Amino acid sequence: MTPDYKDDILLLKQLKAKNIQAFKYLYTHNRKWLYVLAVSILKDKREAQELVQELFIDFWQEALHQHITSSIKSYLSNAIKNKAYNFTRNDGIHKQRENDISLSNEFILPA
Amino acid sequence: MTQKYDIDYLFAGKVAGSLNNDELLEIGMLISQDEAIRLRWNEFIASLPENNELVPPKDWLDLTTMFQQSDKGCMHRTLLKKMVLVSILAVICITVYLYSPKKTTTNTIKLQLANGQVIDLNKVEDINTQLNNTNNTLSYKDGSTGMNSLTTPVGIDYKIRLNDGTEIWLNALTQLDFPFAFIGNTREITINGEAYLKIAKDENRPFIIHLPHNDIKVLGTEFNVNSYDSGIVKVSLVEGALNLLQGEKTISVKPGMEVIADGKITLHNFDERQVLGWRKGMYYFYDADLKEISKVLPRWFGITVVIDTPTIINRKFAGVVDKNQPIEVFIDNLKTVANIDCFYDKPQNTLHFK
Repeated sequence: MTPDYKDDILLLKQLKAKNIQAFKYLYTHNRKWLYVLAVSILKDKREAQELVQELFIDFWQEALHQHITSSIKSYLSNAIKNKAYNFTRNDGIHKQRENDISLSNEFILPA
Repeated sequence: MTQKYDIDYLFAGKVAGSLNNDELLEIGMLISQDEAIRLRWNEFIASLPENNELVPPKDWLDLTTMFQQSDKGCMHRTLLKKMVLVSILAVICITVYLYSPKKTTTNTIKLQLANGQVIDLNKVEDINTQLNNTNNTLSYKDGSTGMNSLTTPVGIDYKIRLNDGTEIWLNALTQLDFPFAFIGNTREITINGEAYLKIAKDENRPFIIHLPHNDIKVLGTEFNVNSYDSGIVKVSLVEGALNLLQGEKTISVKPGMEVIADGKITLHNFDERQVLGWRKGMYYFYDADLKEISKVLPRWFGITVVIDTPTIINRKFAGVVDKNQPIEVFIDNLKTVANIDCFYDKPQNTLHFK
């Protein structure tokens, strides 16, 4: 039997107590919509899934629940948006650098 | 603005199909009654790649189990460190890649014994009575336990049967380190390149495969490993069960799943034809760029690939390379289907993409 974690206050309390079942509930009930939100910014499904997974890894390991002041869902929504925007920015810089090195006239691949 | 629900949550949840009835009602009302929200909703839908048909993935990492297995939450930091290391390595590799001189290739399957002696498996007279090299397969009666090293050249794949009954198919340009006889409580080998493994069942002696950045531990299974790209290991499980060890962590893989370890770990379903096609001499590529194709062609045909127009490197292709056909067949197909200009300079053994 899994207890009912629909109530934010109860869920937060259990997360503070490092209850892994509470975390499991949080992860399985929120990853789908967070994924859709991440795709809408990144346009890349695989990266979106990775960012959502990363967010939950951070959430557990860095005890991010302590930063939640409003609702859990608004917190997660803002967190994934920030992550996605940071990613697109860094990815842009990364691609630019990659282009800078690979733009040589003679691109010879070793056999 | 005080709102009961986060609007992005409602939008994303509606697309993901994860809203409850109250929330569905709320978003339905908002979209139909509030002009501003309706516009935002339309923008949101338009920003998704497949509009309404975005299906969330099913292959999520089992974080709960991962956290339970780790004593302290140190995984993320190790992962981060690895990612940084991988990106530094990538820069070094690209640099070496661009400036390394053309390697000369020899077409021999080489077996280097633990004592340093090198045997050319293409020359039958070199094979002594302990080794049997028929039908492109090596089996042996030797019982020594030192590590031998088997290397396949460009364009050649080869099969070996180990003394515990395990069978290993090596793709071109792959190195396998193995002992003639396994001693102790484990069976351990090392692979660098691509191989398909059929591990003989022995519950008392787990089989451990050392890869460039990871280890795999199995009891008896069938799977493919690919570490051709530096920094990336791909393991695709066909049958049985398998554990990938990344640092202190263990990732369990189920049949039909492929795990990609490139500093981070990703699990997804794989296309058997695409991953295992090499064993039949076929290389399937889907949505691949010229860079990826250029890596396979030298490995299979022993040719040099030169991309004369750097801008075409990111163009995407789908198709198949048949190793048993001459390279000209592939070039003809590519020219007609992909509308790309290339020519094969036979005396120089070089393929130019223009």
